[in-house]
Amino acid sequence: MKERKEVGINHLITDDSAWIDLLLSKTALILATLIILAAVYSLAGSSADLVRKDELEIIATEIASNIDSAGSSRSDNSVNCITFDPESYEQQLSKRNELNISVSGEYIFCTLTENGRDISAARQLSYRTLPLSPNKFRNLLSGTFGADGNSSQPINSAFPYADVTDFLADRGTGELYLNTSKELHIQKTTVFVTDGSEVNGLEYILVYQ
Amino acid sequence: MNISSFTSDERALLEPNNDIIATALVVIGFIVFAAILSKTFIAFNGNSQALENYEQAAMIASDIASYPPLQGSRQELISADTLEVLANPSQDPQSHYMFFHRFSSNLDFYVEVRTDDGNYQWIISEGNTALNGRDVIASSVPVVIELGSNARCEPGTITVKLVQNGWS
Repeated sequence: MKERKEVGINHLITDDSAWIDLLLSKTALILATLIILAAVYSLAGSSADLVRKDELEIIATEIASNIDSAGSSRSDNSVNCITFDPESYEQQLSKRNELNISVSGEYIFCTLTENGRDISAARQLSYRTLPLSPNKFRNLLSGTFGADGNSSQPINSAFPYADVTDFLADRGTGELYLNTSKELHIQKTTVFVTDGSEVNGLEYILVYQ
Repeated sequence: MNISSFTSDERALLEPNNDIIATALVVIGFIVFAAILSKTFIAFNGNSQALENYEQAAMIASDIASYPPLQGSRQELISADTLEVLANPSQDPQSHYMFFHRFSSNLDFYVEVRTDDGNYQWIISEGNTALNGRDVIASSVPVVIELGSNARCEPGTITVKLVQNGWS
């Protein structure tokens, strides 16, 4: 048995047909090919995610720019409407049910769940925004301050109107989840406040459906 | 050793390992390609974010340029007196408060207004203009500033400087 093993080792050492070179180089070639193919596959997969993310960013940017342009307009109470048509976007976001868009006082946030993974995009808003309808907004003010903040009924508050602004900032933290089959309404409104001597208007953008 | 001795050498030292060398070259090439691709993407992402922030700053700048309380004797003029009041909040805290209140509390920015000749400059801020290593995105709009009540007008610029945490 021992003799036979020595013969085997000798045979290996003296064998100059270079088959081990061949095996090693072919194995390396196969391994490298596998690694490169896996890397290319994951790169292609992540680029598809990036395309989806870009589409979500387009939606978020479109809503945010509409809200910002309502904020920069000088006319009060004009209502802008946006209709959603996610299928019009480049790659067709056909899975409407899995597309979530939410609006809060600070951000527009879009999330798409695809293959169990969440892809999201957010946009910051430039103006003070509240996810409330005009009626609900005025009712909230009437219920809390006894005046709805219209020019005929300014809210009594001492400068810097912290009670009104803190109350509204608190309402702005809530999120409005948009129904993409309905129109989105954007309206600029003013809450009039008075400290007894001077009346000032606090501007807000209302976003509702 | 000259080149002819290298090319006429027939001992085939490298030949059995040709595959490994070629594979190593391909792997190195791919790694370099992936590195360049990711670097390009990071640069593109940073630039597009900077562009978005610039657009936001530009929108705020043009909004401020048309802010009614800033208007002088004519609609297209910016009143230096009002700028003076806004630059010194202690003079009229209400005007200063109303100037910034419209904008989201999430935005951190300040406004620099100056005449082109450099003789006048106003900085309207909510207090802290220190950067603390954060990025600044600035956008300017040209305006005409009405100096005092003698109707002397000077060309100038309104510059909005958005201060944000770094994105790269």
